[in-house]
Amino acid sequence: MNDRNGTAPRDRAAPNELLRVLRRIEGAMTALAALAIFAMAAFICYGVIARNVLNISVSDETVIVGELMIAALVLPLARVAAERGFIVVELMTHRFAMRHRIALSALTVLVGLMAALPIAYAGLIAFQGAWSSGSFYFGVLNWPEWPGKLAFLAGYVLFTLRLLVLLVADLRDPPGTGAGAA
Amino acid sequence: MDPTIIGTFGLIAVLILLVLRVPIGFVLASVATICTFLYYAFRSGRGFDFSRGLSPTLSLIQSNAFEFLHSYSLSMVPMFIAAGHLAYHSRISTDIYSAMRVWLVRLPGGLAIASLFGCGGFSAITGSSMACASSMGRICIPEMRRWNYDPRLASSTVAMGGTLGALIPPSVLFIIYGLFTETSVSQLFLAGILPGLLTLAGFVVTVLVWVRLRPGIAPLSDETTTTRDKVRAAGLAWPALMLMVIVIGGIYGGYLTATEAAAISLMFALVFGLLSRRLDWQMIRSSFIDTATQSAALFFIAAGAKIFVSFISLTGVTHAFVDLVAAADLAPWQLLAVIALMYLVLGMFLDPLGTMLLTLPFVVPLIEGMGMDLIWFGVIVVKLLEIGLVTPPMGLNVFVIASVGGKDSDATTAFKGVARFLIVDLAVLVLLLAFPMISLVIPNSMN
Amino acid sequence: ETVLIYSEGGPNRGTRAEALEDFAQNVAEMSNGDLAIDIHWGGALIKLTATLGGVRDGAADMGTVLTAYEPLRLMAYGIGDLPLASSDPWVGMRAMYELMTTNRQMIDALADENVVYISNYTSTGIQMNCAGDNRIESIDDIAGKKIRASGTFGKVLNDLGANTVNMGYNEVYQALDSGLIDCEAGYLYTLEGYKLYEVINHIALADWGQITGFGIVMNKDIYDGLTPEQQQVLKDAGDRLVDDFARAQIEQMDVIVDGLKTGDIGRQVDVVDFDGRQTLIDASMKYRDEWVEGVTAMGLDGEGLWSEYTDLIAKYEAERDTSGYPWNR
Ligand code: NA
Ligand code: NA
Repeated sequence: MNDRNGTAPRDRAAPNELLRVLRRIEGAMTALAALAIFAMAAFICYGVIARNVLNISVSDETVIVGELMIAALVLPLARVAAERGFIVVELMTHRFAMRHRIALSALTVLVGLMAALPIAYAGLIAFQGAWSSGSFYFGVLNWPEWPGKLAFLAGYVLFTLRLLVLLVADLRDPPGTGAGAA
Repeated sequence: MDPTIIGTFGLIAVLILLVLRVPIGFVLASVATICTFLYYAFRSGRGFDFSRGLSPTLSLIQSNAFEFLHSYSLSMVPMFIAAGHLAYHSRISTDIYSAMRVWLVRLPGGLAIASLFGCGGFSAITGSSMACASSMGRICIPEMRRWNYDPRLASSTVAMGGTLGALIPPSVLFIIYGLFTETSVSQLFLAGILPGLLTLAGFVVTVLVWVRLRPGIAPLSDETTTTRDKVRAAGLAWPALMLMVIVIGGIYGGYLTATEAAAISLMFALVFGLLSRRLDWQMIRSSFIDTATQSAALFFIAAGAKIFVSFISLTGVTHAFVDLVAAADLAPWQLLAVIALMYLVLGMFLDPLGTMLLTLPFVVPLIEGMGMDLIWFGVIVVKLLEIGLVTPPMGLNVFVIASVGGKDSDATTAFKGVARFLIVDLAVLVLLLAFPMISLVIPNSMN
Repeated sequence: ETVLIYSEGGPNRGTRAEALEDFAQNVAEMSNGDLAIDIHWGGALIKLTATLGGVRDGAADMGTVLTAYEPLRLMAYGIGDLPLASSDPWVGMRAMYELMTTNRQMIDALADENVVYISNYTSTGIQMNCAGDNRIESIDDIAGKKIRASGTFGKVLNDLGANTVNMGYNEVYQALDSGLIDCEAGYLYTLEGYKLYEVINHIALADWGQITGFGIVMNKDIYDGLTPEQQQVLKDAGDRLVDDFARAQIEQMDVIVDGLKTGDIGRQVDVVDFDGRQTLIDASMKYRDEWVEGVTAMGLDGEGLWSEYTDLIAKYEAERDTSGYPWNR
């Protein structure tokens, strides 16, 4: 394996490889989300032109944009977690000692898991339901429900996975010691 | 277990976790999920039943975290955020700010005041406070920071300015309020104009006083500008003015919805940036990537708040509270004070729309019973909900600013600045409560 | 006392909200306080679009569902949304109520979703409501107009040359006001509830179909867990809701039309009759065929359901013509 950090202990090589793959998937997911935002703008602009210039109606606009919204807003969650980019309110923690901060960082990730895991599980059930029933949105296209539900599931599974990685990293290399992950 | 007990423990858990610096989205979603689960698991009254708790909880999570995001009208938020990034990189926003700076060079806090007027203008075309804060925040805050404005001033100015979004018509909140009270939407829109302008005036006064007391937070440049400089600077601002004409003209002319205006703004900034060769691939890429991560973080919080709204609805606490107030036989002003307090407390944790859906069915009959004017009360409710958008711990507008405002305008900094504005804002609220004519004079004169 | 959680997507205002409140009160009275219904308004508990899933999974015990949001899972019930049959609220709701409570295929189709049908609402017929100088008085006026329309009604108008736009009702007011859309194909009660008459200048009464794929369902596990007496109370209250709501709708329709004509509602609006209702109905036929095809593919007897439904419509039309509405007897 082309591990650039050749001095890393052997037993850490495999997780590092996994981490790199995870990071690459997160990057790809975020890029897809970015693309979805561009796509919804382009599609809505087409709708404006169709209505005002061509005088034709665009069918299923709300459904398509809704699907793109799911991709845009759920796929990047793991990346946000990796960058610890979730919004916090600083009230008094800056007064806490370092060893408390380590515990707090682990607590953050645990609470995050309690938020993400049920949503991921609910997403799995919803995807299974949409897939097996063949449910669709009312419209001209009768657009199936499963692609959006799959994107939702994928985003939350990845998000949960990343939180687990952060938890392990927090426990192993506590943040603030200079060796924190991500 | 009694639902109110679960709810009380839930709120205490939220506060403790927030103090421990757990991200707000994590806290709302996890606590609401656990509380909802406990509610259903204990519902049968025969003790704890895991399987009876699971399926309804997952169903509510799904409907709040998925159905809520699967929304055409909310798409304006990420699109306006992206438009802001692109306008920044293609220097559309920089140019108009240079113009404003040249024009307002002698006015202390001039850029902050310009930002407030920008927010006011933007409010007249969008019905959503979050859209207002996201687009103006991305444009205004980096510029104010570039001229060494204090980050607290820069970020809180736009967070507050964004609250004009639902007060100055058009307004999504007024439309929903009209539906719940069977009052005229156009009367509500008209009623919001003066209170909106009064609020804006209050913000401007706040900035002037704040800068007067602490001149260091908004440094004045000592350069001298000639009329020729002013004209030249204004000339450079044409792309920004063009964008405003497209958006405002498009909506008022009946060519665009607010959502479509967001899409057009994005495309305009992109195309202008490409044609003027100011945008390169790297800038475009980072604009969209940043938009995606910021929007995801923002909507994760909003989805968590939605799950909380469902849970609060289950507990019936708003209903019970209003019944309690009704039974207390209060004087009108006492009743209003209690209701205002309730909205301020709910606004600390929930989003405006959710708060409205939870409370209006019970509050409105009470207000009607007191013989108070429902149009005026609509203005009061919207004003209270807008205050909730900037109060900690759950201040959506502040989080928007934290997402779009750049490195040093984090939520905590913005909340500190907001505290200064809130004194004046509460004074405006008291004025609106004490003098219903401020709200009613325009709608009454139109009859 | 058993408390049933009810999820309602609409506000606690207007004719339908009153009917739902009466239903809840009737249930309480008929059961002598043994059953209570706790209504959660405005989608505060479950979004309107997700209500079927919420009731199925037990997040709410009962709820208001619209077939348009569950085109597959409620496809059979969607028979009520085909813009063909009577637009008389009482006839439409009675026919749906009987079909949904007696036809085995319908009962089983809902049981597959773990819900039980309790009662029905209606949207009343679709009218052509225009802002500015726009007017849709005949079929020829449809082509080229920007019209807000939903469901199969939107598809038919599109086939007739309209430029149809779909948007939430919250946005229609502004869209008509700014001229973004010329007209909306909608119902009389939304004209009032959403104050659309403030921005509308011309109404042509088309009385085209109605939405009756719109009713109350209940979680099947919860329903099966009730005593036979409690189940009977819900049946009786549901039956009564049909007559009470139909009566309220019919009376309110007259009040709104009169109010619009005289200006008593707050503003005077041109109200005329639409010329060409039959053409609209003919143009809707192909969507009946699509529906038959769809439910047949699900293993139901599509043609059989359709003929049973039209027979029921005919039966209640005849009853109305000979003896009048029940509340006038
Ligand atoms: Na506004
Ligand atoms: Na708040």
